[in-house]
Amino acid sequence: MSISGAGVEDAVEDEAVAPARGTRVRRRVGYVVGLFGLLTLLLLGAVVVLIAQGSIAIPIGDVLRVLTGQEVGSAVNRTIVLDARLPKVVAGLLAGAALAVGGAQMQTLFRNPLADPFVLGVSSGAILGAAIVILGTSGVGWLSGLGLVSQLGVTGAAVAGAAGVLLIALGIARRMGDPVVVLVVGVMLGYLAGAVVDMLVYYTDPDRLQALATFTRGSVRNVTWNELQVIAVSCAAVLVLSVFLAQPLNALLLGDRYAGSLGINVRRVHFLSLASVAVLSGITTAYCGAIGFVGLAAPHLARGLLRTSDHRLVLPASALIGAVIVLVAEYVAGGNGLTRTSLPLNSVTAFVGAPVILWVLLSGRARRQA
Amino acid sequence: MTTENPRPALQAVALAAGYRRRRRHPAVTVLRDVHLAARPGDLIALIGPNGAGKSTLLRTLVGAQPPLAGHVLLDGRDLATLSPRQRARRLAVTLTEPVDVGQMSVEAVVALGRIPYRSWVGRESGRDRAAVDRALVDAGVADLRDRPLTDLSDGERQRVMVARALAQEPAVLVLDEPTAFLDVARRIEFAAMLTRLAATTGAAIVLSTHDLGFALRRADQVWLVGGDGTVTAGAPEDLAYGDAVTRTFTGENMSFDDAAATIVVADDTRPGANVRVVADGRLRQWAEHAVRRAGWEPTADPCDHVLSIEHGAPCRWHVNGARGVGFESLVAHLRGRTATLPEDARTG
Repeated sequence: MSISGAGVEDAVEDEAVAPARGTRVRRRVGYVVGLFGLLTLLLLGAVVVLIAQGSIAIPIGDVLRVLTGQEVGSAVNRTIVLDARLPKVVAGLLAGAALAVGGAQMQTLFRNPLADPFVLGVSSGAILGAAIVILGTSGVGWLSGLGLVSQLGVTGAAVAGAAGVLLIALGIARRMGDPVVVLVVGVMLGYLAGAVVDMLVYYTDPDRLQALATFTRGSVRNVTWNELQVIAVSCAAVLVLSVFLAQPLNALLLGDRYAGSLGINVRRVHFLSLASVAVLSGITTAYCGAIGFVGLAAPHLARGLLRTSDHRLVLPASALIGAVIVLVAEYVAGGNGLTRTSLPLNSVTAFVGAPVILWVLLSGRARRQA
Repeated sequence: MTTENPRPALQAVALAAGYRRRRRHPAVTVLRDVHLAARPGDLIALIGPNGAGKSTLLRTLVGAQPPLAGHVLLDGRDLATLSPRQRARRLAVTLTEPVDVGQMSVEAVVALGRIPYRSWVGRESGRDRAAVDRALVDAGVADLRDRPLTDLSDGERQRVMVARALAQEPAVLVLDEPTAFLDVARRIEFAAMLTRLAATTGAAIVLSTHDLGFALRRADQVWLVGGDGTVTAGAPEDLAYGDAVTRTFTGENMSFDDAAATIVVADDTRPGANVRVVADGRLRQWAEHAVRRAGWEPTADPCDHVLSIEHGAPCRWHVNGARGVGFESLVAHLRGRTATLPEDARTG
C-alpha cells in the first residue's frame, strides 16, 4: 500500500523527536486493550452465570459444553439452556449494547451529556408507535401473539415512533441549546407519548393494562428465538454501521461548521446517526420494553474509564458496558432464581442511571457543553 | 518550489458574494466583481468595517456558501468542483465559535485534522502521526500534547485549533478573527507565529481582523472590504498611502494618522500650538506622544515654546520656565490645567 513507504520514514523521525513518547503510547495502548479484555470477560461471565442460574440451576460445565456445541448428559439441561435461557440472555446483551451505542450517539448529536433514548422519550415514542399498530389493527394482544409479518409491522411502527420523538427533540435541542431544558422537554414528550398509550389501551380493553406494564418497565424474559432473529439482524446491522459513524461523530464534537470544514457531510451524518438511534431504540423497545438509563450511563462510564471522548473507542466500550449492565440488572431482577417473582429491569437500571445523571448535573458538565 | 510556482493558492475571479434571505428569493449581492489572489506563503489580512461583508466574503472563499457569480480557485481548481474531502485537504479554517470536545487531549484534537486523509473507519497511518507531530511543533503546542483541551487558556486553545488546521496540510489556511479574544501579549505572539508559519509551511494564510495596526504592520497583502461592495487588495503601504484605508474607515472628525498607522479622532479643541521637543531616543518619542495627547504639535524646528526633558524615572521636564516631574504633570500643564508645580519639583 502507499502508506507503508511513508511509514518507515515516519518511524525513524518519531524516534528522533521523542524517545519517551513510545513508552507512553505503548502504556496507553496496553491500558485500552486490557480494559476491553476485562469488559469482554465480564460480559462472557455474565452470560454464563445468567444461563446457569434460575429456577433450575444448571452446572457451569454443562452450560459451557452446550454453548460450545458439545454433547451434554442431560437433554433437559440442553433444552433449558438453548430454548429458555439463551434467547433471553442474547436479547438482553443486544438490547444493552444497542441502547448504549444509541445513547452515546445521541449525546454527541444533541451536544448534551444527558441525552439517552429513555430519558428523552424516544422509547415512549416507540411504545406509542407499536401500541397504535397493535391496538389499531388486530387488537389481539402484544407481540407474543403475532406472526412474523405483523411482528415486523409493529417493529417498524416502533422505529417510526422513536424517530418521530427524536426529530422533535433534536429540533428543540438545536434551537434551545441548554441541555437541561432539552432534558425536561424530552421527559415531557415521554409523558405525552405514555399518556396517549394509556388512553389507547384503556379505551381498547382494560385487561391489557397488565401487558402494558411489562412493556413500559422493560423485560427480556419473554423473548423467543423468532423475535430474536429480528432483533439480532437489525441491531447487528446498525452496530456495524456505527463503526463507520465513529470518525464523523468525532468531527461533530468540534461543532457542525468545523466538521464541515473537515470534509464531513454533516447532514448525512445527522441523518444516519438519527436513523441508527431510531432503529436501535425502536427495536429494543418493541421486544424488551423500555429499558431505562442504560443509554445514558454506559457511555459516561466508557468515557470515564477510557479517559477520552473518541467514538472509535467509546462506541464499542459503551456497547460492552451496556450489555453487562442489562445482564447484571436481569440477574438482580430475578434471573438468579432466588425468588419466584421478578422486578422490572428499570427498577434495577435506575440504580446505575440516576446517580450518573446527578453526577453529570452536579459536576457542571451539562452546563459547560451548552 | 513556492517561488518558482507563481500559481496562487487561493484566487477569486470576478467573484460576486451575497446571500439569499429565503430559498427562491432573489439573492442580495453584498460584494461584486472581486478579484483576489493569495500566493503560497503570503500572510493576508482581511479588514473592513462591521457589516461591510467580511464574513460573507470569508464564507464564500472557504466554500461555506456558493458564489453568486464568478469563481473561487483553490490551487488552480474551482472550489465548486472539489468534493468536501478534496477541499478539506487543501483548505483549513479556524472559527470564532468556542469548541467543547469533552474529554480529548490536545493531540487527539489536532489528530482530527487528519480526518480528510483517513479511511472511513479512521485508521491512522504513520504519515498521519508525522503530520500531527509537525503541526503540534509548528503551532508551538508540542509541550501541551497530553493535556486535556479543557485545561488550556484561550491563547493556548487558539494555537491548538491552528495546529489542528495545520494537520490538514492545507495550501490555504483561513482564520476568522483569531486574535479577538487574546490579550495584547498573546496577540503579538500569535501574529509572530503566523508570520513564521506562512514562511515555513508555504501555506497562504488569510485572516480577518479588526486590528488595523496588525494588518498594516504584519500582512504581505491587505484585502480591504469597503462599505460600498468593493474589495481592494494591495500591499499595506499602497492602501495606506492611497486613500483606500482613509476612505473606508474614517468618518466625521476622524483621520488616518500616518505616523501611528491608525485612525485618530480629530480634536476640534486643539490649541494647535507647536512646541519644540528637546530630547533623544525613546524619551523623545514618548515626549512627543505626551505632547500630542495634550493637544499640541511636536516639532524639531525652532519655535516659541520649547520643551526639554531629562532622563529619569520619572523624567523631569521644563517648558517655558515651568518645570515638573513625570508625563502626567506635563500633559496637565500643557492643557493649561495647572498653575502650581508639584511638591517634589520645587524641592528638587
